[in-house]
Amino acid sequence: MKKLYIALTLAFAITLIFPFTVLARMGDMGFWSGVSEGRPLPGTTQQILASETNANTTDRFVYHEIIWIDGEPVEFEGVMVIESRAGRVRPDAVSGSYEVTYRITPAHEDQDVLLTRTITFVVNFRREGNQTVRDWTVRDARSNRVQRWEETIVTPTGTYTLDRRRSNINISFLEDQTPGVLYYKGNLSMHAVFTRAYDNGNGNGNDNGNGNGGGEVIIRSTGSIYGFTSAWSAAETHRIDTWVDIGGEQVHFQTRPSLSVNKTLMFTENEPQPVSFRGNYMEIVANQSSLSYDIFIRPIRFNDNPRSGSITIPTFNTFEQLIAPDTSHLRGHFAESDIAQLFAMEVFTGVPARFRPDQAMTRGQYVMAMARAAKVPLPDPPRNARARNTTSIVFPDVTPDRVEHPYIIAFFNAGLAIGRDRGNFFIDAPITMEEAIVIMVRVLGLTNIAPNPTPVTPFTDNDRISDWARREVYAAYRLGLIAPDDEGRINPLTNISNATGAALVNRMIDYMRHELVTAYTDHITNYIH
Amino acid sequence: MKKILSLALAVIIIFTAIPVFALNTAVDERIFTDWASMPGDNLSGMLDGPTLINNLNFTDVPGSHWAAEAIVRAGALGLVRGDNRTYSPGASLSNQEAVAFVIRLMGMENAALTEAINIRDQFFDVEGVIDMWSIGYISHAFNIGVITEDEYFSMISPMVGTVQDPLAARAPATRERVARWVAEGLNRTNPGALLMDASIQRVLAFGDWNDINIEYLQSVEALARANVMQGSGGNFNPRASLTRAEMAQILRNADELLYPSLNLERRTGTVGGIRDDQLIVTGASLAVRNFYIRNFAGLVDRIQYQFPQGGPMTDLLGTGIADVVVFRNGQITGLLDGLTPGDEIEYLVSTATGEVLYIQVISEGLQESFVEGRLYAVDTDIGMLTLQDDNRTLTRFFMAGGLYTDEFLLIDQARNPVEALPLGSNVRLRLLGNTIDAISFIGAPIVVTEMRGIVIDNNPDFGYITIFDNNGNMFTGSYFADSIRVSRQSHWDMNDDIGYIAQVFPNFRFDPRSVAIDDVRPGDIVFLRFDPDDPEIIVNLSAASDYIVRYAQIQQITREDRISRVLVRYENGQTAWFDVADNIFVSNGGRPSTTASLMVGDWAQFLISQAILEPGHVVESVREIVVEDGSSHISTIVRGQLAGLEPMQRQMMVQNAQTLEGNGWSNFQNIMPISIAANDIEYFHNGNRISLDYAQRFLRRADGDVYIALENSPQGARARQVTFRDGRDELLPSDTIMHSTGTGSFSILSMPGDITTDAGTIVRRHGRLVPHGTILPSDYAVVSLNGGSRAAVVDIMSAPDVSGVNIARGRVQSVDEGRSFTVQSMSILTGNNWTFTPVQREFTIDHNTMFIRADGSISMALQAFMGFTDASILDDVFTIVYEGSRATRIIEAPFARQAVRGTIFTIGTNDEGDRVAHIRNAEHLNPQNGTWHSISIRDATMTVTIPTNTAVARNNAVDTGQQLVVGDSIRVLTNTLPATMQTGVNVNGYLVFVDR
Repeated sequence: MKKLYIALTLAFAITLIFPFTVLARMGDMGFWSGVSEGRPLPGTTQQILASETNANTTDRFVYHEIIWIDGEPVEFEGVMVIESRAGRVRPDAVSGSYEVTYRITPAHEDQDVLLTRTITFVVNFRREGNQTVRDWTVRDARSNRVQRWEETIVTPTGTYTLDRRRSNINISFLEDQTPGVLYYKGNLSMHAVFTRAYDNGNGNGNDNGNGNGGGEVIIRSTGSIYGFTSAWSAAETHRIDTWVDIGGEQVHFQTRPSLSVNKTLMFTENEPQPVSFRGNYMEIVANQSSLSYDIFIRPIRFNDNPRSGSITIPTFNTFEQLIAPDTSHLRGHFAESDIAQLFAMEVFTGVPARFRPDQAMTRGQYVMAMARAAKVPLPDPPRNARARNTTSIVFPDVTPDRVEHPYIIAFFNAGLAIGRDRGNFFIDAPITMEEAIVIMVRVLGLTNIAPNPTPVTPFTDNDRISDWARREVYAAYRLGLIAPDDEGRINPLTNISNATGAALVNRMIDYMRHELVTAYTDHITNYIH
Repeated sequence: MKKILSLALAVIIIFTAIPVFALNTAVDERIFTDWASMPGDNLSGMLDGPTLINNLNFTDVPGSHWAAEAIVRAGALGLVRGDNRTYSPGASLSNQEAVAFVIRLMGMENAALTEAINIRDQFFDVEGVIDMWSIGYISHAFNIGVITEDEYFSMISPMVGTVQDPLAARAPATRERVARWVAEGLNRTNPGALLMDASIQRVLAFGDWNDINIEYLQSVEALARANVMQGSGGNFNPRASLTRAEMAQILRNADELLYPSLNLERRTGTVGGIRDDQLIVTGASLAVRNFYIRNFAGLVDRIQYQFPQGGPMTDLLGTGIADVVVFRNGQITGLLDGLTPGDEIEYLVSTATGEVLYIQVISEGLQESFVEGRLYAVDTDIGMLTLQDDNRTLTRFFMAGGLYTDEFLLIDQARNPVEALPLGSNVRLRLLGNTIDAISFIGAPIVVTEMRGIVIDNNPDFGYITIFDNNGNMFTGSYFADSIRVSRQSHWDMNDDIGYIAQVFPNFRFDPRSVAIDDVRPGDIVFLRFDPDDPEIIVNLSAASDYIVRYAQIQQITREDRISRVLVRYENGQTAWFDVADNIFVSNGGRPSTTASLMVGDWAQFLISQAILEPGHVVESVREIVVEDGSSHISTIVRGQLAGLEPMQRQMMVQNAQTLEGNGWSNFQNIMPISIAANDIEYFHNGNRISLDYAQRFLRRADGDVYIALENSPQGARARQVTFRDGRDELLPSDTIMHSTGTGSFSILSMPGDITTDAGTIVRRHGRLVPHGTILPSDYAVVSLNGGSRAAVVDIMSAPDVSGVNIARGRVQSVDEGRSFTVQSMSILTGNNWTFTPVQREFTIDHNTMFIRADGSISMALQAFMGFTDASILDDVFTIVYEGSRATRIIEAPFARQAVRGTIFTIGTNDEGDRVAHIRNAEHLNPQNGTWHSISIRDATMTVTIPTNTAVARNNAVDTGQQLVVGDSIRVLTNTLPATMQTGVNVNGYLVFVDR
């Protein structure tokens, strides 16, 4: 009977664990070699306040795009409004479709180039386990007619209007949800045909017979989109190759728009001496939007102009104070700042004064800290007494009254397979270094960095690493999360202290804050491939 | 009641007496067919079997007697006899009985009987002798030397009835004496079977070995070694008597030694099936029950039980019931009751007559067992299968004959060809006894054996490859480099369009994955397939590369023959040395390039393969390098003081800010915001590394200067290195480094003494931020000192040189449209002078050749430079900028022979799109004597208008006036100068050279 309860509650819990309540934030820059300021990450207070469901959203961003219609890059400053009708999709749906509309208008009229674009995508998605495929199309599946795509570009040399019948754009994304990070990649292909009405001063927009009017501009784009979303950072970068045919002249260039947001901590000390806390941490949410371009082929008359350039949107960083838990007893300790930060971010809970850095960190504490750090969605708390009594008991020693209970269950549901044996979880046993590393790598979802299986790692005590942990240990080494000691050892079977555990949790958060963002921004935008 | 009982009894007796012959059962499915195809021996029971069975049912030997089996066996073989269905197992063996035993076990029963007749004839009158039943045995034994003369005479002494003499015939035989007789007997029938000359060792194990008579010691030793006589309780008890049961046991122990002399063969097997049959001869019929035995060698023996069923010719068949003594579970019975299918039996076969003399049932019922393992090898010649378990131990089993032929092996009722057996598959064997009865696969059969691992070392010259297998063990396999087939998924082959079919059918189509074995390198993941005939040789190999990507900045390059040794510094500060081969792929600016294009200070993406030779020893090699696009290049160097920070917006405020331009520090700004959003900004105070917090606290608004290197990132210029200094800035004019120590000290021509640098010095080499130890002699640099002779900024650039720019003017004689044109004569510009040559010259045109007209319009010479129609340019004169024989620019401009020069202090663009530069220290050239004259004493400024058809030469490259900046010292060639050269005059510059 107990097994039946367990099975039922597990089944219930699993459908809730990855409800895809908040759709991934892809496409915030559009797909047209433009860059926007992007959405900020919700601050800590905001996250607590927000209820996560799919919703119809409307976002408004400052948007800059490089327009190439005349053969030379011109920066256009505009405003982009993204309307998403995702609210009609149920959170637990495994397939469905919804619409997303982009509206781009000029920010001000005093520009060389004025662009107006309205385009509605139909997004069809389907989910298989942790992966979701999203197809963005503009043409109706049955009639093959474009739903809505209007584009007009006004330049000094004429007005270009999109020919809807001959244009098409298709983008397809694949998302993979790991416990701590959502990774996605997309591919984009676009073929747009513009017809030009030459502005010959007569205002009639027609070919005046001089051979200077009319004509077509064909723009073809192909590109890759890479992005990720996590609790501490998000980034999206495109690499788009475009060919523009301006009726006799051709231009070929590559643009790399990049959008990132991350949260970092900064400690501010209080000036007055009589104050109840010496100082506290602030969380700064910083956006960065930029686009770099390289021109490969262009009309010869522009040959003396720079071949590359970049544009950026100035952004304003918001910040929020974090609480100041009393970690005065750790003043001067090796891991003081790690522990203070984790308490300030509320990754560590409980009374800070009881935190003894020299003690071994237990498995329950480490899993709870990791789950809080990665903001892994927790199972809903039981609503009534009856539900409380039948809450899932996966491990006999992890009872619902333990504060670590929901986190351990969340990890178990996420497939992190953390039991030492299928019986007990050993919630109060110390955690070993290799177990800690395995959890860290699996929360990031980066086990695939190492070959499968991994027969040997570069550490001198490779033989002491358990078979099931070797792959994650090698992956952690390759990512730069860990490093051997002076003798090349990693000491996989040693129990780690609270201080070491804090250092590992903070290392993972730092990796998400900085290195993961760098890998998705600078490492793509700074390299022409 | 009695009647019914007796009736019932009678019925039972009838039914038991008349066997029912309709049996057809088997536990071994193929036993019947195997008998038909691969028969063993056709054996029969003995005709006196039933009698024997009856007689051997000794009343005083219950089935539970410890020697019951031995006694029955000995009796079945005719070695012992009972007396009226009693055996007297506990009775002591007398000497004569012992001798009789020995003679019988020697198979000389008949000889003894013959001897008895002879003796009786000879000594017909000697009383007592004739009556001795054993006289024949004793006499024969003496004749052949088994017993000694003493023993002989003692035994036949007519003291019949007296048992005092231990050698009397009826006296109990001592164990040691029996040992000698048995040994002698065995020795004569089976010479060499006993080691009669063995050294005394085994005997010493007996506690009472000292008591053994020395004459018998050798025999006891031999028998003890052969396990024929073991003693009891650790003692041999040499003078104890032997019971008849013990004698039977001795015979049992010696059976291996006995049987050859008795023409007996001992076999074991399992009763596979029983089938009844009928033999019909005219007038008579014989019921036969066939017992099919799967013997240990896998062959099938058949033991036949015969039961004549009557008929008038029964006697003619001359047969009776043929049965065998069967000892089963303490019961002595015959074949019908003694054997059931599945029994494991031991049977003694007479090789002479093909009769089975005795059967012992070792274990009853189905002795079926299962064993699992990996199929290792199969030998169909001897019918043996070898199994390998998880510990790599090999076990061999005999297979039932029907499971295999020369060509096939039967697994799961399917025939598998012997030369293509799925070796390595997991199989389950069903054993009956110890013979394999059936083979079945566990899971799916493995068709090919593959091994997976990561390459440690590949040596095509010697033909071996070493890998770490999946368990981390090293394995070395050999191959023939010219015949091994290798397919490798290179990291640049995204799609495998052909797939595995190209491996299944070689020579199918071009497969980009087919490579030579040399392409397999340490660190690759490989799958190996072995030659089925020779499992040590690799015939097929599939590999995939396993690379990691790292981002690093080049700190040093040392170029040697065919390799470059490169020191790189990763983003986290760690450094590593790499040997980069010259032929690896290098990409620079989106184009393929070579290692020669790598420069110190370049950031690049490295594709590295990591080969772990052993834990702790890793060899990394670089496979590809992609150089960064310049986002890390230092675009600006700023000097000022720290005003403050805007930490939330990641901005630093610099007051009294100036940037380093061609003419020194300029572009003064009261407060300049600088982004400090980059991840790895380094802060220095003089030569010491500090943190931003330190700077904010102690160095704000300090008097000294702060120098900031800004990089050119897509997010806008942001700080990369910030150095605070305490002294005053002193900018030196650009100069050449004369000598440098390599540790950061150098000297320049214009200043005596050495200039030192430290970790905080901003060193920019061709735009890249480099470590301060890389300043080399003959570098051309702008140095800014701060505090004595310490350099705060060293900006290394190419020495301004326009001597490589080739400019000429010529009159076009002919045009080959799109390809070339010829000038009939030209004037070449050297310095400020035009040198006329009447020589014809041809210049080629390509897609990069610009044709610039007087109105500034630019078109492609490929299309617009024509020798016909209105646009014909024949006979026109153009200024030609050329490289070698290729024209890069063809410009329509007036002949510029006058020159002015000066330094730009303002530059802008006018309404027509021309660049307008205001220069100071303006001088004009006197063409006659080549001297320069300042245009004014007071205010030597003038204006130069640079239309778009001007060629501007800088650092041996030519472009339009877009790149001119304040601070450039230019030399301008123009066609006419105003009559009076004075302040504020304006000239059109048609050729501009940037000299500094």
